[in-house]
Amino acid sequence: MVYHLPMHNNTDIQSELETISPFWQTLDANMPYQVPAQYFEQLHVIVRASIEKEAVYTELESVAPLLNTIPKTNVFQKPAAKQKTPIYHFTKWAVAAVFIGIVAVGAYIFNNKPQKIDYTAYMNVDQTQLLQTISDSTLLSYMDVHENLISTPDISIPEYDLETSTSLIEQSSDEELLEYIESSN
Amino acid sequence: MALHLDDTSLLAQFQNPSTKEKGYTGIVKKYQERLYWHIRRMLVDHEDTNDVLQSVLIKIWNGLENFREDSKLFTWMYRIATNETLTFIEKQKKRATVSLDQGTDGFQDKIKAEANFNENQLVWKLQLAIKSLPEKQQLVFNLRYYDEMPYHQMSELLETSEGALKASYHIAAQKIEEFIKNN
Repeated sequence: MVYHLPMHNNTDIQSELETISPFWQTLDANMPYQVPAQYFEQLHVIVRASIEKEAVYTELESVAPLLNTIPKTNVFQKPAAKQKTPIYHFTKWAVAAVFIGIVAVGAYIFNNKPQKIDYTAYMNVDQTQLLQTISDSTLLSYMDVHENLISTPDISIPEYDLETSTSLIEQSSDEELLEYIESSN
Repeated sequence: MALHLDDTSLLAQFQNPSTKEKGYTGIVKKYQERLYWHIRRMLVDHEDTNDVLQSVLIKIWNGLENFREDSKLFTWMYRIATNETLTFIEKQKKRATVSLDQGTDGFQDKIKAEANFNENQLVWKLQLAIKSLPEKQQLVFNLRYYDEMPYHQMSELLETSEGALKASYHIAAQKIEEFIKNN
């Protein structure tokens, strides 16, 4: 709000200025300053509140002036809105860590459990049948590579004692010989 | 423009406990603008003016009980406002001395910081020119030029002879003219 004073109505004042200098005829008495809106409408209310505040101060000053030296700041506080405490957060993460640990250890133990080998299965394998499934070329190449491992069995043929055999045949009956021949077949 | 009761009626309301507040509010509403501008012309800043004016109005409330109609109500209130304003300026000067600031330049800076300030406009040049005067001369010039106060009333307010006030006013007007012409 720009403040406007009316132009000089007082002719004495205007004529006085003109006696000082004609320069003053060119000026008007308007004030260019601004005032906040509604300032003058609210001022008396604000002042009444200030007066009441001062009355309280003055009254206390006459009764117990020490109290006026103590700031009136409120020392009490409203309880803060319930928040998740750091301890709660820690507990939550601790529980999660323990759970993960248990799962990890369990998995480790499970995976490293000594395996029981069922040797009976191997023992019951029909080796002849197994050998038949392997091709000849594979067997030959295996024998070439592991030549040192495969040794010819030391087969010693006992010296045939012809004289003893002849005497044994002579001493045996025909029935006994027939029985031997039959059992040999 | 609101119509106001005359000072005698307002004072009578104030003296009566049942209408005391009504009487005081009537006095404040009647004179608040004139007191405000009387202070504002000296202090420039609205916030400073508001602080001083509130202090003045509280002092008026406290002093009205003992107010005797040996002087005009308005003159009495103007005296309180003038003294409060000059005290405020003195305090500001002391603070400015501590902070190595210059008092007069400070007020001129405040004028330049005002909203709508235009250094080419004559009304703003006039404000800068008034602020180049000594404080007492500013007061005399403002009371005469803006408030159109008669010398005898001004004499009562400032407790200075009418002749001295007239001389002071003329010198102030010449200085202002010179300032504006040179700037």
